[in-house]
Amino acid sequence: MADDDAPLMIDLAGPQGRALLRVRPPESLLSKPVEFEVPPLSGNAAADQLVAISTQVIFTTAANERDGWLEWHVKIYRCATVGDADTLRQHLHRQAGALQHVNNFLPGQRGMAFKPPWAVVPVQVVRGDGRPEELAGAVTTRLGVPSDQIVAQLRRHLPPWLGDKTQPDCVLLAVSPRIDPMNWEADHHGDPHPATENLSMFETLAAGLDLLHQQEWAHCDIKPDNVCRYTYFPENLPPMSEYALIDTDAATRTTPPPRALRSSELYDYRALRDLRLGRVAGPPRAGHLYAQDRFGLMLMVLCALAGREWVEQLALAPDATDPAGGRIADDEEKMLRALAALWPDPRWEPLVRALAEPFGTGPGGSLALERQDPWAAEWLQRLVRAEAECTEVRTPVEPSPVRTPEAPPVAVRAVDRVRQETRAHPAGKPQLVRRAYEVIDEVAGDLAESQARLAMWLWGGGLTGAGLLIALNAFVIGR
Amino acid sequence: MIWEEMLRRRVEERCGDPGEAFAPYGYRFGKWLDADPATRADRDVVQVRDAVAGYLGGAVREGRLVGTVVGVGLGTAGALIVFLLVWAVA
Repeated sequence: MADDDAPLMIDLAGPQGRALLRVRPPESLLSKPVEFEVPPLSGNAAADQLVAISTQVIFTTAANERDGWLEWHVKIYRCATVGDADTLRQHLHRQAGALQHVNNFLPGQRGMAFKPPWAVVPVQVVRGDGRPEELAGAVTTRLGVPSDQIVAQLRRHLPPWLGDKTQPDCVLLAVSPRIDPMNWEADHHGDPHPATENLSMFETLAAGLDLLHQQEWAHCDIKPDNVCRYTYFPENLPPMSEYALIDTDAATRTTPPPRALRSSELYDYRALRDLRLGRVAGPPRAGHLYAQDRFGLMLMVLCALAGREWVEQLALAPDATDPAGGRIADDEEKMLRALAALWPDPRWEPLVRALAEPFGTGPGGSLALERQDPWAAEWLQRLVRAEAECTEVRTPVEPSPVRTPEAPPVAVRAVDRVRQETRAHPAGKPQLVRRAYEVIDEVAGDLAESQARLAMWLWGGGLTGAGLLIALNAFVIGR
Repeated sequence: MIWEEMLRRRVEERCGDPGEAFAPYGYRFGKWLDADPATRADRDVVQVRDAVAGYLGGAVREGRLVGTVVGVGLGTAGALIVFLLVWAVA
């Protein structure tokens, strides 16, 4: 046996650099059973039939000692046979390739294996037997121990905490950058306005989803736990924040569609929910999988605008008035009413309409959701345009501020003070916005006070001085 | 001081709560916060910048108005007192 202290290292080498991950022992060695339905190994007959593979998965983390993202997730899959491991490896490899393709072709930017921007957090597959694995000529992965521990490297690749009976040939690892999860709670409870500052941060994710669907792949499990927000620092540009999809385990090819999805039931698209509940017979169609992703995206946008609680307890809860057991999110009209009740100001109507439309069954609803054609990026643009329409209508006229290019110079100069004081401490965007409101309030009060004092001194001093001059002229000089 | 508190309350009444006033700008407000002042601002950023300037301009005008009213009152009283003092002394 090898030295028990030998760390498990994963080497990722790509054109943009090299990551060296030091895998930490897991907090718990309890494994989770996971079932896959994957295409058979290439060359096998009946390639359109999927084969079922059972694995045991252990979750842990790793720290990167070289280039790129610092913290990583590690999933260790243990298969029953070498054949299963090969078949699963082929599936994970194709899955990782599809995800990398998405990030490589994002509009206007190029995501790398180790560095954002990403629409889908990339995954790298590593063989448990220590042999190199190459992903479409882009990244080569290899499991091993540090090169100075040659003896350990020769004797084994797997750490002792995986157990002596674990065959390296039956083990696969999937590693991906680790992003902190979000709670998706409404940032400002009782706020009668949608948090539309979050909309633009979905643009990359939406474009990536369209690219994924063009390759006939679907994520299938878009829900709050699987969408994270990260910030990155492009050269010569201010920091950028984006949402990205994580946990792509359930990602699957849409042709042929799997017989069953490993999705979270709460966030299931209407047709898949009906299938699961036995209301409709038959296997899911490819269109259902595209719609499942888009339905998830729609709900995530609502989580960002209104909070997870509203989405899960209202939009996705069974509608008590529906004898068929449908949810509010299964019906455009009900969504319209629910959103209008949430944001009662009628000036939000264009945004509410654009948000509710895809929940229907018409041409802008399920018919569009179930087509393979790109949809998500265009829908997000429609939301942004609708929001702009609301803003133009809602721009306050009186007595709130309007565009006043003739604002006093002292006020124009104070605008930069607001921004500087707001950005004095790093914070999340919603916190920054709230801080900006406080600073505006504070600066407005300071300005009013200083201007009031100035006016008081000028008028008070001027008039008193004038009184003195008149008196002197009348009773002293003029005598 | 009491007058300062009163003045801040008047400003809030006149200009409105910043949260209410700027919520309609939505994500544009965040864009303005992120924007680099050294680079050319786009339409969204200019819109928010002008709106913030307009809001602060309202506060400036309110301060000047209050200051003028109080200053004229105090100045008139001061002028009268000075006038009477000089008259009495002379």
